[in-house]
Amino acid sequence: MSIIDKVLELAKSRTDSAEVFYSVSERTGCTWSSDKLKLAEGKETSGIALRVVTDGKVGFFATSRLDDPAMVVDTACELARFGTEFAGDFVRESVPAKIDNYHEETANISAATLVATGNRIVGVSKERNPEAFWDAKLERITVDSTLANSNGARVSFKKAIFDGHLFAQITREGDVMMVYEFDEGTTLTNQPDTWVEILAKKLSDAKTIVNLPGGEYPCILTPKAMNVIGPVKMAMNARMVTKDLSPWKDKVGERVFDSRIDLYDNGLDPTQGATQPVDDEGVTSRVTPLIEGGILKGFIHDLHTAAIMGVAPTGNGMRMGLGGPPRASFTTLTMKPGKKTLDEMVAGIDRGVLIDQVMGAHQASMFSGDFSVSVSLGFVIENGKIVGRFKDGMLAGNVFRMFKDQVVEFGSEMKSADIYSPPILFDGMTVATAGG
Amino acid sequence: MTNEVTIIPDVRDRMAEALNAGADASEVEIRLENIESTTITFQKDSLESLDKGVSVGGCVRALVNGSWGFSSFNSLDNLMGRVREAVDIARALGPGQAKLSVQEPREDIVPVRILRDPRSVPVSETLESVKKYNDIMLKSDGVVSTYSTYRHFHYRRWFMNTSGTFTDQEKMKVTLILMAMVLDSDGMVQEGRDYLNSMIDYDVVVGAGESAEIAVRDAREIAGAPKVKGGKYPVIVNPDLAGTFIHEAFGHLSEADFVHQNPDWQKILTLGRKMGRDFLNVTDGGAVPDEGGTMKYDDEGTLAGKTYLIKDGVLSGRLHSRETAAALGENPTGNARATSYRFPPIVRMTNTAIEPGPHTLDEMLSDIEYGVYAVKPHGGQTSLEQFTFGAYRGYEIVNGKIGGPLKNVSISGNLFKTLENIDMIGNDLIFDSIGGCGKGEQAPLPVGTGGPHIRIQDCVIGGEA
Repeated sequence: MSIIDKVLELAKSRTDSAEVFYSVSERTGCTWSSDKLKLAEGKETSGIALRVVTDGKVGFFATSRLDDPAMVVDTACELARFGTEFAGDFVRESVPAKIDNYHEETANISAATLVATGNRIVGVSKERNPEAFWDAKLERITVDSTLANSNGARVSFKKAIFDGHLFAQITREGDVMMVYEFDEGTTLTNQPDTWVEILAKKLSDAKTIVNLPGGEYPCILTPKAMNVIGPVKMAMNARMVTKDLSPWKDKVGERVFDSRIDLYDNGLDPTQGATQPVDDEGVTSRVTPLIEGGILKGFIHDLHTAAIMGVAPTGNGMRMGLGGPPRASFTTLTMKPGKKTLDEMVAGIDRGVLIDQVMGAHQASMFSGDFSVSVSLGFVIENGKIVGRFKDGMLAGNVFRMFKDQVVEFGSEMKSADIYSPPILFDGMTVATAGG
Repeated sequence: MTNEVTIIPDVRDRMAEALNAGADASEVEIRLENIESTTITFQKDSLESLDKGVSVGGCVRALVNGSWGFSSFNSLDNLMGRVREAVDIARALGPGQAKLSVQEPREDIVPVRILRDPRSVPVSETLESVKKYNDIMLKSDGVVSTYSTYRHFHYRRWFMNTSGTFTDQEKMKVTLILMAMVLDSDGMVQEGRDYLNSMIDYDVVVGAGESAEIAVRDAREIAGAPKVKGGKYPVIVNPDLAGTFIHEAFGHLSEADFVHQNPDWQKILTLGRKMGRDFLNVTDGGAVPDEGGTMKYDDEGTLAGKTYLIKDGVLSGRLHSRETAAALGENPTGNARATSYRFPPIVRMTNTAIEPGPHTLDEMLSDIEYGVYAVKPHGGQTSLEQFTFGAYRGYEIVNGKIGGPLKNVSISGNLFKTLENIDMIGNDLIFDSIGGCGKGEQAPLPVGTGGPHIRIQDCVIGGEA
């Protein structure tokens, strides 16, 4: 009998319902530091998590120890005496969505392939930009998970993900510049070579330092710089709605954003690393519309919040690794793109900024949307052209207001970071600089 | 130390035996770990989570021909095989440049001094306490929601390497974060927070009535406060925040792992370079008692000490692993740290502090016509030369006096200019260990930060006009 069945059988006999999640993951990674291959890693992680419900209360325990099923069940049952309320019911049947997201060629990427790819991108980059020092990391992750519960549902699924980054650093007295690109996905074997081109262009655009006076500017934010989106994600999460922490809790059906904005949680995008055929509670993955034409359509849910709010679960009951119970969180929050390329967007701006890297988004107010971030890579646009980079600037605004009142246009080139989105041009963004 | 030994029987002998399989490597390290944690969260009027976790795992790191191989795992059944695996993947990389400084062999068992162990406290008792504080906030006028989270972790780490060192250490941390949310005049949620933490005593943390009141007071104050107008200001940073400032603004720059292979940085960060005024002193060390970064030995078995990073305004030291120390011809400082067995050690801070200086807060305030008094850390980030850090609360300084509150104080600067612009350092000092530091993929790593009041001229604060 497998550890899954042992734990489930034991737990069933002592509780009203029980759910076991078992996961094994393997990572193979290589790291380059200052132009040189430095480290190869092989990591194996395995563990089991048990959630039990007794008298409507949950006990949750996770462990890497697979040798003691009784201990797992004892601990979860003990915690259920005091536990959190669970309004839902574990799924009766777990039907995997048909998604082509697992690719053997990704799962089988070898350390030797990673070494060859990394040596190539670091080598070419160094040759083209000898002044920069180049760091990189490439990694292949496979995850094999099984969920089984006392309602008889049982499902297993696999993931294979490739991720990595390339990072350039140019160090001069009085001017240190760091520029990076990253990607994560299920079919990105060729992606690292595109980082080389993108970074070469950015380093060339960044050569000249331009003094930018503080003020209000039209501002293109790239997806990488869109990590100020946090409070918007909170506002669309039923976990926050049920705690009166979402400013949108009573606004379903109302216009909350610019009428051109469509936002959806895409649990079915086969290219995204977050995609799996069912969520970590066994609910079938799907696409959940959140904002259509600027109008709020709903929220993301796990089993518990869906039961509280009397709606269907949305397949967003995800676990942050094995350590915690499933909670509503986004799979791939996706924004509908526009038509223009980034170059075309830049060409339309007389005087403005393009911001690609920011720091300190987590220093913002968690819920109100007010933020003030340090710009670590920002370009100055004059007469439709990038004329150089500005330094020591801070960008401030309110993310709710930006998406409601300040959007000028959307780009077409999608990239996945905190949100899967195109670059977006906002009007009247405030930049404070050391230049005054 | 308690019962974890039963989980890994004969741990020392098994590690020693496994290391024999790596005799052909330059160095092999094994690190095994047992981690236990409990998290309790109340949100608004209900318990949101009560989770326990126990994780046992280990890792092997091997240096072969100057290249590193690393293997991590949960099953401890085949340690010898894991050693072979790490050695083999290191060898497959071909020759590299890493060398290690020589280590004097040591054997040491280091129990942590715990006054009241959270693991011995019944869950029901902790639940009741956290609920009590959550209720204090929730019942306060104007509070629309709350978030109260308690967490403790305890780990025990066994380390052995082929240089002959064996250490057996433990660490504990208890944290309570209390957040109260109120609505501002635009109907937006604004949060106030307070927190407590201890490395040695459950009772320090779970005695938090005052913290609940502080969180509510802060939330109300922030909700009613105007936003700071973006621009350049003289800023006085309070001691809680001064530690975060020095961690972000300078601490990361003193980590030698980005310097040791980069001649450009070596030129800029030549020891002896003038960094600030004569009264600026900055230290880091794992030997400070009972703080977040406190550990007698780092994760390479190097004895932690105290390193002056800036002494009398002059760059005087940096933080090292055995590898970076060897590369730069300096001594290891005990700063090779890993968040867990899933990661190799990298150069990290332990407890970083600005030492007290000669000035009083009144002296700092006296000649400021208009400035900002920033208090209470709210995170930070750095790209080495450029850094940012946030303050939960700020106050105007008007004509030498602390005035009304401000919200959203976020400060950014260039490290070198900013250190030069510290023109006064207070004669007080507060250490704090709430922070978890992130670097690369390893976060959060417990660290301590400390500092007095400091005054910085020409700080850029972000904000709308």
